[in-house]
Amino acid sequence: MTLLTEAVVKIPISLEVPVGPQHPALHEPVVLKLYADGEEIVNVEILTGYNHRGIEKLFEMSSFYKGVFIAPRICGICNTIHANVYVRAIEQLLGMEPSPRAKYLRVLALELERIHSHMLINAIMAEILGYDTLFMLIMRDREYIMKAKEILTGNRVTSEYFMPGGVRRDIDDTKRERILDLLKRVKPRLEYYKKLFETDPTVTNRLIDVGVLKPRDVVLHSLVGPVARGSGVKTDVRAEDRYDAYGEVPWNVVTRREGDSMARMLVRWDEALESWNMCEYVLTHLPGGQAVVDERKLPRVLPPGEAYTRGEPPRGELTYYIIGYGRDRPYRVKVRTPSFTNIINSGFSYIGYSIADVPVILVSYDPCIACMERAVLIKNGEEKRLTLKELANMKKR
Amino acid sequence: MSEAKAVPDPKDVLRDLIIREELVKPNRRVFVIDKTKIREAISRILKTYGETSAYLSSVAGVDKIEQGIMELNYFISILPRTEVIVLRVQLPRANPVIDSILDIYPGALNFECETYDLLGIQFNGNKFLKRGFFVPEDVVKKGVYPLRKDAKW
Repeated sequence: MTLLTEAVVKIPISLEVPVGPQHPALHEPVVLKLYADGEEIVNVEILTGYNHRGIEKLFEMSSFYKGVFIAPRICGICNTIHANVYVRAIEQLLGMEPSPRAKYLRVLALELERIHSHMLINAIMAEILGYDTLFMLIMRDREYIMKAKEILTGNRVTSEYFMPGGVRRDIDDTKRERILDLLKRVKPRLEYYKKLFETDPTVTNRLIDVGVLKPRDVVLHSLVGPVARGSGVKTDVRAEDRYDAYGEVPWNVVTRREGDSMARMLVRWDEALESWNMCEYVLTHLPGGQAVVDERKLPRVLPPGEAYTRGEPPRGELTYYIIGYGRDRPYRVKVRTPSFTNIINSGFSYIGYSIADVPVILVSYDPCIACMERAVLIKNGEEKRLTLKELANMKKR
Repeated sequence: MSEAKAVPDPKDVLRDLIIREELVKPNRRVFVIDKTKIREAISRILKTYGETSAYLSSVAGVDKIEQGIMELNYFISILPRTEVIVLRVQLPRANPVIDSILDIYPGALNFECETYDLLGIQFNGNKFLKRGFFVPEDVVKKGVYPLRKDAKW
């Protein structure tokens, strides 16, 4: 139960090293303010607020239908799971149930996203270690998955695939074969990279016994996802809630006992292989029937009630708490993303390691700052209401 | 199944603290408790299920302006039961103050800091609370809590 101590600044020889907000490891803004005694970290302050866009307020101001397109904008890498958890909360309130085919296709989209996200963070870990060749190789092979995701959902990254009651695109046999073909090319590469992470001294020397987390610290600090599973805490929302088709598709929860940075990265490789098997199972056991929902027939009003849905993005548990009050817009939407706990609450875990270990430990938590910070779009002290069209064009400005 | 039966029901653990029981879809039990009992309720859960089996999943503050209250929902995931329970407390909107649970659950740090910054709920005993945790500086200067329903700036 380590809390950040306040006395450390009084150590006469302590050195203050701000890491960020232009971060060396990530292309996202967060500050880790390190206090070091020589090379050893004695305290870490985590400063946030550089990327807060007011999305929770935007949800309250927009109809629930528009929310289906706002949710994936919270995070680029895990956009499908944001849309999925939001859509399932809306389905709970509306009393809708997707068809079996839609449930299988949802699992396919979510698992493709998990594979490419785990490949991305492992590639970034390789880059942090100075192993740029490995970074480029993993990123090259990740493109196969991005292509498969594009064939399935119509877009490489932000996919707009989910809709209350089902999905927005179906696949035919040709697309199914193409996705299977792409997946077959990726599997040997995943196995190779896993073996490489286990055996290559460039990787092992930097990761083993760095950033060790005990199960007790993990649970008390609400750390989730591969961070918790790397410390032997068996928690996975897919197994606990069995949402969509996760109760029907065979798969295993991956855990490791070591609790260090290496364990977290290996959990991700093993999960990517599990996800690969799930994708193949879905594609070969896809039920028939209708998957695409007619959006014009959706209800216009969100009935009064509360829903709390959870999902398992690549980074850990994601939750949406939505209150409806008989209007087209929700009364309150609370989003709790995995990085919100994994990054802000993990300041204790850097203490005792050297300055050079900080990027390694941070990357092993798979941080996603865009996810972490959300709530009112504010510019020059004035609230600005965005139309969906403006939101869609924001990137171009 | 026999293992699952051995894990106590949170309703039995909190029985004398519960004012009423509600439900959040899908089938998540909500136990409404008095705001002065939140620390006791959280401590009991931690003591019953152990320090590696129940974690604080989320804290959601809701401004219910028409009823003049602020609601705080503590979502707790109990791993051996694969269940999420909700502890709900109601605070007067004019003076939303509650005891911090930071010393029991260090993982409450981010939730309490965020709720204070966006909704203005004060957590007694949490010395890390500060404005500007997420909210931009110009809004902080005007003393506005953005997620309150009457927020104008």
